[in-house]
Amino acid sequence: MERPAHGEPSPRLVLAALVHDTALAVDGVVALDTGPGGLFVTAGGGERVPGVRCLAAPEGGYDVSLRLVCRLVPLPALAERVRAAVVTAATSAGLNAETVTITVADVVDEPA
Amino acid sequence: MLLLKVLARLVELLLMAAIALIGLGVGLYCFSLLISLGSARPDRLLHLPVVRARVGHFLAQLAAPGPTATLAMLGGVAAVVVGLGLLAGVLGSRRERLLQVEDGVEGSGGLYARQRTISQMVRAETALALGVTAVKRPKVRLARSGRNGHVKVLAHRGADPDPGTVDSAVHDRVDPVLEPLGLRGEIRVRLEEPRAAKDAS
Repeated sequence: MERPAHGEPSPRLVLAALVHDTALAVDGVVALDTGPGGLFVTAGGGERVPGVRCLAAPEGGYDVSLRLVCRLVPLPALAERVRAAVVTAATSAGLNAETVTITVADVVDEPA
Repeated sequence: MLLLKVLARLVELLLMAAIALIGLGVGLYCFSLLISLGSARPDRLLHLPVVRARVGHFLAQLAAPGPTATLAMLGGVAAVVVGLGLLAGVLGSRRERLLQVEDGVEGSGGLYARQRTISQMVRAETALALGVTAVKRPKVRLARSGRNGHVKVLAHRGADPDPGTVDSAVHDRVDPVLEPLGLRGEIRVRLEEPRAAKDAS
């Protein structure tokens, strides 16, 4: 597993931030949710990425979980779009999102 | 619920500490029967004779009818209510109820949705159906496995159009939401009572 150079954020935190921004850019996603008690975050080095959890996968890479707040759109199709965007963004950054688990935490009835 | 859980944890901690202290006191008392502990007598350390002198009078009033007994009864009822709340906090499930839309066995990761999310989606779609004037919050019941469940929808309609048309319009909007999620819908459409009739009843 990659180790961060001294003072640099860990790859886990970099991946979490990347996943957060990528998911928000997907059409239909409004926000990310921090879950009950605000504990659904990736934290480290004094930083917190809300709504994303990255855990080291047994096979290498990371298991990524997201909690989304989305518009009224078909959920399986939305999940597919988010998953594809996350995997592509992670690969481009030289990181490996092994699995992407999505929980739809809330929906908002607002126009696109 | 979160507040109840925090309260329950706090009371749990305090009760554990109190039980531990009482246990220590009883232990010391038992030791004092075998070994002389000098002045370290637990009943004296806890000032039990003084407590008895102060509380004994109140206990006597409790036994007799009067305002103190009423106050004690109200206190008892409040204690029962607090106890039930604490039990709910301790025994209540901390897990979110999630519908498993995709299980992620093929290694891509799963897709889950909260009960409330499903309810909101169904309600919003029902409200958009032709002829629907109001929708009660749909009730979502998930199977223990979280893989399927059913949703009860109660919509109200005006006098026009006819019930069949409204029912069909609601199904047209709600079924495409429920079917991909593996949920069954139980949709009822009722004629909305006029406001005057509602006020009279």
